[in-house]
Amino acid sequence: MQSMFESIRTIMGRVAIGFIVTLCAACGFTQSAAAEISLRPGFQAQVFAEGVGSARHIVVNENGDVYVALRRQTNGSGIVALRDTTGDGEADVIKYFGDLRGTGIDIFDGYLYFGADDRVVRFKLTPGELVPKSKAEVIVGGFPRQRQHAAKSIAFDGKGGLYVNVGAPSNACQEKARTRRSPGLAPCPQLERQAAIWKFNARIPGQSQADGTRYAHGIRNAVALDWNPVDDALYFAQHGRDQLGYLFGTLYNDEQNAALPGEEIHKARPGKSHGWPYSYYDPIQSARMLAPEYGGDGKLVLTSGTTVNDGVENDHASPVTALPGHWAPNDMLFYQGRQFPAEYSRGAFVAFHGSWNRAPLPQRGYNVTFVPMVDGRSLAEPFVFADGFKGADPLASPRDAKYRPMGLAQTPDGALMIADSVQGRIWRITYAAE
Amino acid sequence: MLPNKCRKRRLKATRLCLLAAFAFHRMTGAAWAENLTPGQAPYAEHCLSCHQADGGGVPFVNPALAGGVITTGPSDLLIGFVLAGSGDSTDGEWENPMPGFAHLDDKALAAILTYVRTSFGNKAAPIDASEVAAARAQK
Repeated sequence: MQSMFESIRTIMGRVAIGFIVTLCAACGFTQSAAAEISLRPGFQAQVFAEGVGSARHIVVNENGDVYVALRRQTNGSGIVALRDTTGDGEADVIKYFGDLRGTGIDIFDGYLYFGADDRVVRFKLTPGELVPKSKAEVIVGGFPRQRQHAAKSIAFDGKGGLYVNVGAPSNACQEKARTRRSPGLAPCPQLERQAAIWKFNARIPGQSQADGTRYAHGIRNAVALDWNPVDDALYFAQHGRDQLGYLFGTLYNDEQNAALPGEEIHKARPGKSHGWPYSYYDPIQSARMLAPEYGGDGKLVLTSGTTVNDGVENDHASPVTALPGHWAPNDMLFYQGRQFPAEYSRGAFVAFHGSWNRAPLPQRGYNVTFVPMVDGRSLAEPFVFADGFKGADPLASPRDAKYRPMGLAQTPDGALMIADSVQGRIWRITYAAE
Repeated sequence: MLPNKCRKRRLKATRLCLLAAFAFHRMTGAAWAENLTPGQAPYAEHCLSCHQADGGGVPFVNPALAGGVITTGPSDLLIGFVLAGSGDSTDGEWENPMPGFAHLDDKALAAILTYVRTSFGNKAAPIDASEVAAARAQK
């Protein structure tokens, strides 16, 4: 009896393996052995640099020089600068500078801007010189000190506007942080200065947060944000709230805890709430749900006119699309190069750092996805562009991931750079039509 | 009889050793296995999503319990920390704060703490419900 079961299981296993192989043949990913990641057909990956530190965001200057923000200082510095002097696609000069650690990094008007956890600073770039000689100049200082979601990611609109993510200092604005069945504060006082993207004048040094304006709010944490020059608008991807299952176990089982909420991709709506903490987007029901901290039960859809609580907004922006729960979007890039096929100029690459709170279910994300969209409308289903970073499947814990995609940038010749936070590896992705 | 560990380390906190000895005395043979597992289910319910099934934590976000200084340190410090929570200080290296777990009863907390002190490669002394009660009374 047992042996019969064994042989059935073996046959089933072979069928399953055959099915998976067929699927992968159909999806046509190309595997680059040395680079250890798989890409859509026609794309190649080359390792630009290894072991640069705990990489966050990345930017490439007009001359090809690369700058990477670090989450923890390496050699006492929070920024690493890399240059390829031989043109072989690999960095051969690597320098460290800047004493602050941070996340956001971008170039505007001849300056390198850097987002530390409590301020945005800039360095004057001198043509030809890899490491800036000037000291850091504070553009905006005095952001609230916060333990959770302190990362300051940044974007520019090209007209002098600087956009800064000021994340929520909590998971869900509960009276008692991350405590079971603790109700939400109504209205949530954290929305006054945090849980929003703030806009500043990029050219004026010495500003405080009060000198800027709250551009778009109700955003839990938009580590991934970018300006889309096609429709001249700010887009972002939000880290959806954690722990529906733990905090409200009678309403959400393990599967729902892992799948909910969706990771929302938005075209920012100035002045309008994007939902947090009062609501979240459920990608399975394709609806915006009232958060359980505010009386939701996992089924109650929030529509305009629904009473949340006195004094609380209830008209929340709908996302362009939503990716599966807890994938952790950590960077976004609207591709403007000419090297990649034309479809990649209608949408954004999103780097998913990968989940921790799908546990006890396996962790997911750990990829670079392309989200086709135009004018705030989804054009097609998002698809995985680069995969294989995590190195193990299923992945029980993020600690076991080999690489985690964290930062995205475009080179002057239209290649895509991907920075990894675990080992500090940087890939250079190029395209060659067959 | 005192556990070897207590004698070897010559801990000044004799109270700890006496309690450990008491626990040791109670947990002999098959009783060990029986008494070690009670913490596993409440750990999965209250702790696993942040500290993960293997106690390894999440880089930069939630600390590891495997080899954890607080986890394997003096029992009264660990009990006090878990009852009160970590607080929301911005000085630490970990992004997420831990809520307090004073709403769990002495027995459940002792079971969880014993589980984390004797799992993931940790070999610290178990914690008895009476220690949790004593820590609660001090507050």
